[in-house]
Parts: sequence; C-alpha cells; structure tokens
Amino acid sequence: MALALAGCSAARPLPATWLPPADLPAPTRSEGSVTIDAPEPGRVAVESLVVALRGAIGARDAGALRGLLAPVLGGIDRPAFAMSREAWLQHLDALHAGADALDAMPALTAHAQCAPRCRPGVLLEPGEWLVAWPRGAGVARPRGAPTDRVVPWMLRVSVRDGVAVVTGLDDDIVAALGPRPAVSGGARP
Amino acid sequence: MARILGYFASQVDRLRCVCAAEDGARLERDARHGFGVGSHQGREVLLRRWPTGLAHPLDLAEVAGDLRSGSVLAQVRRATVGGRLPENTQPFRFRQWMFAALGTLPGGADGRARLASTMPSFLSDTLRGETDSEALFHHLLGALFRAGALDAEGLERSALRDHLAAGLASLDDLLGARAPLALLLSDGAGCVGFARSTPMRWLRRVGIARCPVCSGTAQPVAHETLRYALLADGEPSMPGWRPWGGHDDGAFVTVDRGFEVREARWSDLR
Repeated sequence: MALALAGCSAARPLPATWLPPADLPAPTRSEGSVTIDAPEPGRVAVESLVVALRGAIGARDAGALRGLLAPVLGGIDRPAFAMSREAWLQHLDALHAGADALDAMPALTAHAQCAPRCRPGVLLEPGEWLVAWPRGAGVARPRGAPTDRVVPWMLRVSVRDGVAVVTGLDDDIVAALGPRPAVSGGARP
Repeated sequence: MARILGYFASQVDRLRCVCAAEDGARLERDARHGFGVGSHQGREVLLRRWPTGLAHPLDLAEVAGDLRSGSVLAQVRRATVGGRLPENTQPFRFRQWMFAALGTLPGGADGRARLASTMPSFLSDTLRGETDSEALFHHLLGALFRAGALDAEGLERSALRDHLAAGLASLDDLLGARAPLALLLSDGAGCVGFARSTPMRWLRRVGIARCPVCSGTAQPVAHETLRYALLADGEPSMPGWRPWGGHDDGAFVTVDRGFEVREARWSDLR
C-alpha cells in the first residue's frame, strides 16, 4: 500500500512485515477455569482517543482535532516538532474531505502484537500503538474529494501514565521506515 | 453561469439547500481547467481543489454539499497564468483569510515581481503559485498588515473595505494601469467584494419557502430562519439579484455578520 498525501515528501510503500499476523489470538487471561478478555495495557486509553478523534472528524471540528493532535502539531513549547501550518491545513483538508471514509473503527496494533517485526525503535516502540484505518491510500479517497488528496489514515500513539497521546501522523510514520525525521510535516514555514 | 461564487449563511448545513433553491447560484459546469472551493471551519480555512479539472460537469452541491460552513468561496478556473497545480487553484488562504478573484493583472511576471517586492517578506515568502490572483491576494494582505488589521478579529466591514480600497489604489499605482477585476475576500465573518469593469451580482434572502432538498412530497420544509447572501459574477438574470461592479470606476460590496449587504462606489471612498 502506498501512502501519498499532498505536501508530504515521504511516500514510500510500507513493508507488510511489520503488520500483525491475521491469526493473532485475542489477548486473554484466565481466572480459575474462565478465560476472559484481557486488553493490552493502554488499549482503553487508545480507544478513548480514537473515539474522540472520530467525533472531531465527524463533526468537522477543526479546533477539537487540533487539540487532539497537538503533540505532533507542535507549538511554541515544542518547536522542533512543529508541523508547518500549511502541512497541518493540508491534513485538515484531507480529513475534512474524507470524514465519511474515516467513520469506520480503525485497527489498533500494540507494539507487543507486532514485536519484534514492528522494528522497535523505528516504527513502534514499547508502549506505542499504531492506529490504522482499514482503507489504505487510493481506496480511502472519498467521492467528491479532490484528486490531489488522500485521507490520512495512520497515527502512532503512545500511552503514558494511562493517557494516549498522538506521537506521529501518517507521513512521518512512513518516513520512520527510513531515518526518523526530526521534523514532522512539510518544511515550509 | 458563474465562475466565482461567495456564499454566506446563518446556518452551516444549508449549502445544498441554497444551491437547489437558487438557480442564479449555479456555477459554470465546464471546470476542466480547475476548480476549488474553500470554507471556514472556525478560524481555519479548508480547501478542496481539483487543479487538473473535473472531467464531468461541475455540480457544486455534489462536490461540496457536505460542507458544514456558513462561509464558502468557489471558483472555476480559466487557466491563463500558471500551470494546473494546487498552488494555482483558487480559492487561496492565509491565516483566517480566504480569497478568490477573476481577472488578469497588467504587467505579467514583471507586475507580479513588482507586487512581491513591496510586500512584507513573510507574505512574499509564502507566495507558492504563479497566478496573478495569488499575488493580488498577498498584496491586499500587505495592505491589511500595514493597517494593523491582518490579525484583527471582528473587523468592521467598512474598515476592511477601506483597507482594501487603499490596497487597490496602491496596486494601480504600482502596475501603472487598471485592469478589469473582481475579487471576494472573507475572514469568516462576512465578506468584502470588489469589482470593476466586471459585471457582478448579489442576492440576500431570508428563508427558503419550500426547500427542494428537505421537503418531502407531502411535507414541505421551510427554512424560515435562514439568512444568506450570495455574490457571483455575471449579469442578474433571476429575480432578487442586484448588479454591481460593471463600471470602470469599481464598486465594493460588503456582507456583514448579520448578512446585510451594502454597496459603495470606489469613487465615493477616495
């Protein structure tokens, strides 16, 4: 699957090797003779974040979305991570145009599910999750969306102290397959 | 059929209804040279651009009917300056400002370079495309910057109009000629339009008596509380539309937060 987003320089295909195996058993634990679901640590926090993201996208609430993605959008306190305003707006354009396509629940992949093939230290690190909407680029372009846009569909999320925080958007996740970029987003001011 | 359209409404989910109710709001269907629509979402300006054009006839309700915004600009391109790139496809945006225009400035590339040389560097540095319209947009932003109005919230429409008048006066001085022109500039709280030698028209209405989109066969739906204003190019051919901007002198139209529309001749402002 190739990922291409206008304004993003990195657009290389993702290798399939890091994806979790399809037959991965659901995480469970046993209490006596009963086996019950045992979500990985952090899953609840990640799901809460995804619910909030879907709500903001569905409502086309740019302010709420900006707040949820603030850790990767940067700001005066984290200038090194600052995405350019134009890059952010292009993400927002695509999210807005593709809101319907992003209405589905994304797949959540924990580091533990893909390790060691998720290349710890490069793509997912311990405590990190990959949030990927099921439709890849090329499929996710919604009806009526501009031809130069595809829907962003991957987020890297880190769970710290029970709180899920977005630490990467699709373009720099792809870029992470090479050297980890110092700056997320485009290079324009 | 219009090539430029400004839509300003008191409700965010009525673009499709207004498109269906107002035949005069129909856009040119041939959008093979490119098409773009911009909308305000809060203080952000979001864009959908088709820089390489639409292969099928343009229907604004189809491509933008899902927008939830009361401030929308749309422009059908006739590519005269610049390639078919997103950077050359209107509307343009800068911070909270959204802009669309028709017309070609005199002077060509030299004229654009002259405009760029007089802009603050943060504006000339962010010129991305090759079009006259983007250069004009940034030139007018420069006029707003010099007036201390670039980041002003709740700017009175009359003040915004006067700042634009100053910017347009300096544009003519810099280029040494006056060209036919039509432009719409919005900050999400209404709009200011200017046109000269380019026939334009505007419309203001309250309510849609029987919405063609929302009404069922037996159950008519009226949007009584909806207020909206439309600005478009072309001569008025439908009831309710009023002409402006066809004179050489030039004229402004302002749409305020209450969707009241006011006209002013440029000669009266100078």
